[in-house]
Amino acid sequence: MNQNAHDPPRGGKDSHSVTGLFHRLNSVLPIDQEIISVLPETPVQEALDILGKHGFSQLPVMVNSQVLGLFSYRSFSQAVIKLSCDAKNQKFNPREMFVEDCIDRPTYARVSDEFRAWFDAIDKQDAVLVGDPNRLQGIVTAMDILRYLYAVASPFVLIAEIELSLRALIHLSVDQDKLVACANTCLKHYAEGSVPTDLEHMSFNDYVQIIGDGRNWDHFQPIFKGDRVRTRTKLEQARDLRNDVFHFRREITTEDYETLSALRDWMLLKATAAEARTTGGKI
Amino acid sequence: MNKQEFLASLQSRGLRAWQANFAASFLEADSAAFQLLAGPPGTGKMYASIAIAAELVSRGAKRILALAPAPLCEAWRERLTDAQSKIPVVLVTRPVFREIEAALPIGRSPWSADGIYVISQDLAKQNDLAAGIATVEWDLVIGDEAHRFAAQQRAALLDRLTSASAVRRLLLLSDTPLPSLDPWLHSSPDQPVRFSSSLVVTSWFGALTNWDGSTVDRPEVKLEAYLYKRGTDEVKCLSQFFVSFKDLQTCGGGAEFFLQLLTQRASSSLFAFEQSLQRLGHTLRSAIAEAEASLAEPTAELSDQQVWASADFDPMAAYKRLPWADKAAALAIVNQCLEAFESISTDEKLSAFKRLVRSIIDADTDGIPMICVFSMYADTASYLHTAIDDLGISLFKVTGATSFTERQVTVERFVKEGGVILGTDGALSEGIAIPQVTHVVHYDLPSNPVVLEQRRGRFDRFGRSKPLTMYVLRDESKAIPSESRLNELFAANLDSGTDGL
Repeated sequence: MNQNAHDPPRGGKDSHSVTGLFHRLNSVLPIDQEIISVLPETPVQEALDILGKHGFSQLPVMVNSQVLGLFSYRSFSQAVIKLSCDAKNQKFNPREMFVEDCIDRPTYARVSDEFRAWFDAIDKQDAVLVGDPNRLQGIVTAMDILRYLYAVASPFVLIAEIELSLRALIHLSVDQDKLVACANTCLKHYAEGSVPTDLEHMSFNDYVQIIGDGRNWDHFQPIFKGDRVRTRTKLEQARDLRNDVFHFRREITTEDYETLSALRDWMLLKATAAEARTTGGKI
Repeated sequence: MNKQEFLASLQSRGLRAWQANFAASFLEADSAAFQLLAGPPGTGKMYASIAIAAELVSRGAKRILALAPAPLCEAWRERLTDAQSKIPVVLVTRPVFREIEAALPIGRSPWSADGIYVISQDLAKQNDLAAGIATVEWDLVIGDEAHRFAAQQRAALLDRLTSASAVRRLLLLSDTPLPSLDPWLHSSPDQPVRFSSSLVVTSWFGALTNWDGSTVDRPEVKLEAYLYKRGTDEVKCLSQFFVSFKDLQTCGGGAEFFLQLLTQRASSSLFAFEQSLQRLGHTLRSAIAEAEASLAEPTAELSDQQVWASADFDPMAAYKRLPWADKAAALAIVNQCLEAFESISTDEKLSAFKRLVRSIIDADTDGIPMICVFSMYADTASYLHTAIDDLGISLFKVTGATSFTERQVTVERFVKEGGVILGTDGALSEGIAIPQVTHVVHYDLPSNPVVLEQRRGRFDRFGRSKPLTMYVLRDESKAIPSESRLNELFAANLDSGTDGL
């Protein structure tokens, strides 16, 4: 088989490279990032308008595909101070400046770099450019890293809230004896005598089976309200997403995230209502 | 290998006569460089294209580009990988593209290496990718669902490729009958000519022939409407919501889109509707919190017409736009409706569905029936899965959450064991065929006739012999007026076949 020296990554059943599984800058770069640049001869007012319009803190200064530097609020303010000092008693108008008067030298990272190695650089300059001076692939800012880490962590946080509140609601619905009876009614996948008797030793799927079983529903309906099948489907969705997230089966989608968030809100509503009832308060 | 030997080899690989004949004629030395293959779903355009790609690779082709809609990219990658092993098949996403680019010396095109590159049309149309793709020569470019190239940016991608002479052979595939492609194929005087040489069109609409020369029979497809009537509480809750939302003051465009989206969800199932409201409630709460923190960025206001008319319309972006001036009022309506939901103890559509499935199972005396249940939404598929798990028959579910490979495995198990398979439009789409299915239940109906045709194409494969019965659930309460129109569209479509589109 005749192959070139620079073969693309192999397709195979899984298109991700092994290194792609690690948290590299490539993961942090937003998928839909569109690089907007300015020319060195752009008036600063125009460049500042672009920053404001897009909510950016910096812009690459480019001629064709060559990066000359970074224009930012920081580089602008530094240039203003410097040029106003140089001007001494002469009239100095920052609005007459051009982007080329306020260029910072950027730092370049590679997509395969671990992003934690760039924390100090980003702290200092607000951003690092990814790629090379004549092949810019993207810009990573502190907000990109924050958003990425939030996206990675938040499903775990949501699932923890859902699971712990579900346990609490089961406790509010049934006492220990009833819980054992409910478990014995429907948890048939355990060998006889080994059905767990406390929630801490049950799986999320066990909770779903217990609450969603038609024979147990009367115990849980006062807390969960509504219809059994709809309640059970919601809990099954939470279970499936939990398993996908905790076992790293796939990356969750925006819709999955919204489903989790909505489930978490629903659980919070049930918990608030249940607490208000137990304390005699009104919702 | 001469043409006859090539045809025999394709036949031995399971291709049907019309697929093999097209592949063989496409590969003839004097065949047109640019071709369009139009045929109804179920005729196997993808299989013919894969055979062409594999044969071209065996003849020394180095670079092939497959431009597919994003949900179908994985299927294309799998099929192309299975069909040949000579050059790698790469599913290009943005991160994969960055990796490829970073590994190369500066100035070298990421597309210069041998390979079959599968790219979603929406990624490929982006400026940097489109520019790079047009700088190398492609032995073959396949464009799936060709009608999508009528959208401005995707058309620009195709124009860029053809005008740069980057394409040696072009194969466009379309489910759409030819007249509807006319405006796209025949450029207006103010538009550039799309193809440097004439585009040869092959149509599989109409009679197709088998290997023995006989005409392919279309199996009998029966349509049955299964009637039910939504409960009083259900009707009250639905109408209360829609009346309240219509009265809300809007800001910018998108309100009409939003109401249509929610109507489709409500039409699908009570569960899908409830989940949409839960998600909408979450989004509204976030928007209100952001506005209170003065962090919400004002979005450009678009009219409804602008929102819909955009050729590259993004439903997710439209959904996020939240077109109501008073978001707190919108949230109050959502909360009221969710509260009302809790008091609804019936779901007459679901009950009717359970009776229908039960009756199909009971009527099947030959063995285990093969039933496929379609929905537009994963929420509805999950709901139905939970609702019928006590039927005592094997149950399978495929949604967009599962990979193409997992979906294939699930479908293979279903074909082996029989029972009920629940699927969404996105998951049971091109690349998956289940001609063994005898009963199809459309739990909801899509408003897009092309989607309906694609559903039908999964089962109503050319060459199948068993009869097929399709069911729609028809609400006699007419609580959602648009459902009647969808039912009529469905019946008309089935009566006239694909020509009726």
